[in-house]
Amino acid sequence: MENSQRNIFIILCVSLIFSFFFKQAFSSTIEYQSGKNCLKGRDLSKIVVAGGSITEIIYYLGHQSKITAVDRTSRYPIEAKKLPSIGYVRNLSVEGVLSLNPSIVIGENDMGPTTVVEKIISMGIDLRIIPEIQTIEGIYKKINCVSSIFPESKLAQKRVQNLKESIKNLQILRNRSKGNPKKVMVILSIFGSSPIVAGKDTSGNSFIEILNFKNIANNFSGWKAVGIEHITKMNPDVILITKRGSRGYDSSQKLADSQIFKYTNAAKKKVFLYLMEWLC
Amino acid sequence: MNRKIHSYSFLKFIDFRQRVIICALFFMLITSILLSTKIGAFSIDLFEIISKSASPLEEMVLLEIRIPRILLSCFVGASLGLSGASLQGLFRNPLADPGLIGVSAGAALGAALTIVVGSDFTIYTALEKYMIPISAVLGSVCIILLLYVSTMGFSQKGIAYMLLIGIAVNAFATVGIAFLTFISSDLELRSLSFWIMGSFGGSEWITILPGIIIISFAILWMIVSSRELDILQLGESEASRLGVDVKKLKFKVIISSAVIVGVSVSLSGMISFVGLIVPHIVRLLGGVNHNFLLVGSAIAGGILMSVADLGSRTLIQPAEIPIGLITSALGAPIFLWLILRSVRK
Repeated sequence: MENSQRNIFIILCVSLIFSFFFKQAFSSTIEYQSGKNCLKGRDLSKIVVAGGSITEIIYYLGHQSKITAVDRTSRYPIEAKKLPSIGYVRNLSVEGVLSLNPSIVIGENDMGPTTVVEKIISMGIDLRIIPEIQTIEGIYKKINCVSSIFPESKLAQKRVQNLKESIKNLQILRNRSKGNPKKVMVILSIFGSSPIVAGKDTSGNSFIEILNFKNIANNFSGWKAVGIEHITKMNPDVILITKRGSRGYDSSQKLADSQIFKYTNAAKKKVFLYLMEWLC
Repeated sequence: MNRKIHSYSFLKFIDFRQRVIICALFFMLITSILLSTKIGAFSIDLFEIISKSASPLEEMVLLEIRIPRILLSCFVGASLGLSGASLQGLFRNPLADPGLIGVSAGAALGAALTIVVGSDFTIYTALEKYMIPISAVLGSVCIILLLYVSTMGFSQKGIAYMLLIGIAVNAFATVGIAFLTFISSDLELRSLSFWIMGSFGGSEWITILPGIIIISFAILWMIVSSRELDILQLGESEASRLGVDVKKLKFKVIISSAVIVGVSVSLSGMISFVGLIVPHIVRLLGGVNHNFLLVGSAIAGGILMSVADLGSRTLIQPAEIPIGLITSALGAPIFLWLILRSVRK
């Protein structure tokens, strides 16, 4: 009896180790694919997009006419919401995507699950996962990468040029704030529990760094609930808050009067800026 | 024979040892409250506040942010401990828990509805602060009504039937929450998961005062039935022969539990294990007499929750650990220990 228990234990251990390597093998295939993600698309007649920012970029470049379906995080521009949905970017279904018979799938770097991504590739569909680096240069590279998949167009060229100029202007503004970086806090939502604040390794943190400001909540990582007391103690000069996460507080005055921010510098000077939800 | 059972003379039914334990628990509660007022993002000295030598900011932080939070944690802890103890008494089942009758799941469903789809209603701007508590209370009221109707006013088919209804109701609420999780956006999903794991972070005087008043009344209403709960341990038919109006007792315990649990969940999210573990610990300390058990569980619940909230606020500063995570982390091993202990016996 004891022997058979030991055998079961060994089988379990071996299968665990096997599954670990199996997973490693899968993820390395995706890495391999990423080398050619920005090459020109073979057939762009039926595009499926997985990722809100990619949808936004394609619309920005004026290539939206060929989009067949988008994922649920594609909430901007509003017209994109009318397109058929393939579900949530991190939880796609193979059949859902295949049923649309796409000629190309363009996805965010966090699209998943891995098995679904693998399956889509193995079905011979042209899948592009756009690399993401959360800096100004990263934004530019991302847009350039998406742009290079499509055939050249005057509108797209003009838009990329405009973007270059905006980035240049932003750099000038950034340099101005270099000497005296403001303490900024990005807040996702304030209802229900303690406010949910952007720590390190978040898009909110990158957003602050792009502006050359200092994320006051940089001693933890990820989006975390932070108590009102700690917000008071951190005393941010500027608070960026999502529109949807601050419902009921639709003006700087209301936010400044709220218990949460009452004693901060941001409330004294009423420096509250609303962010759009899809930035986070 | 229809002898009326008077349970108002609370001290008459508890012995000296139990009185000492209650005093000790009360002392611990006061200590934990004082400790909680001192420790936090700002280190606040209570004597400095009283002698007015503290900075105005520290005073504001203590009076407007910290004290409401501590008070709410104590009341929620007390209500979960008390309702756990009285439901275990009513169902004559040591595994009964406030979550069992489905009220907390109903409250959670109400709150989840507001978090995920609530913003589509314009009523929001005016009532924002109260929307989550109100919808959670409405959620729990719906569950109570459902329980009431399906058990014919708590009179039908005994207590096991009620437990089964509770399980079914829980399943409904779980489906609802799962569906809302599925359709929510990234932002709503984060808010929802943080809310469900529990937090006292949103405590403000204006939102907690109505809750505290309701909880206090319900606690008083429940505590007076302790003697009847003792007699109920002999069995439903025996208890009614001894003059206990079992239907009325069921009504009283379930309604007051539902009210305090609904209000607690609405103000702090789902906090598990407190209602299950606290009565067991109090029973171990001083015995099964409900006069002692109900009061002891309320005080011990308050202690546990105020200490857990202190941990939640300070352990990984400046971020907060969800309170439900702390209570489950404490509760699960204690629960396991209790089971192993009873098996060994």
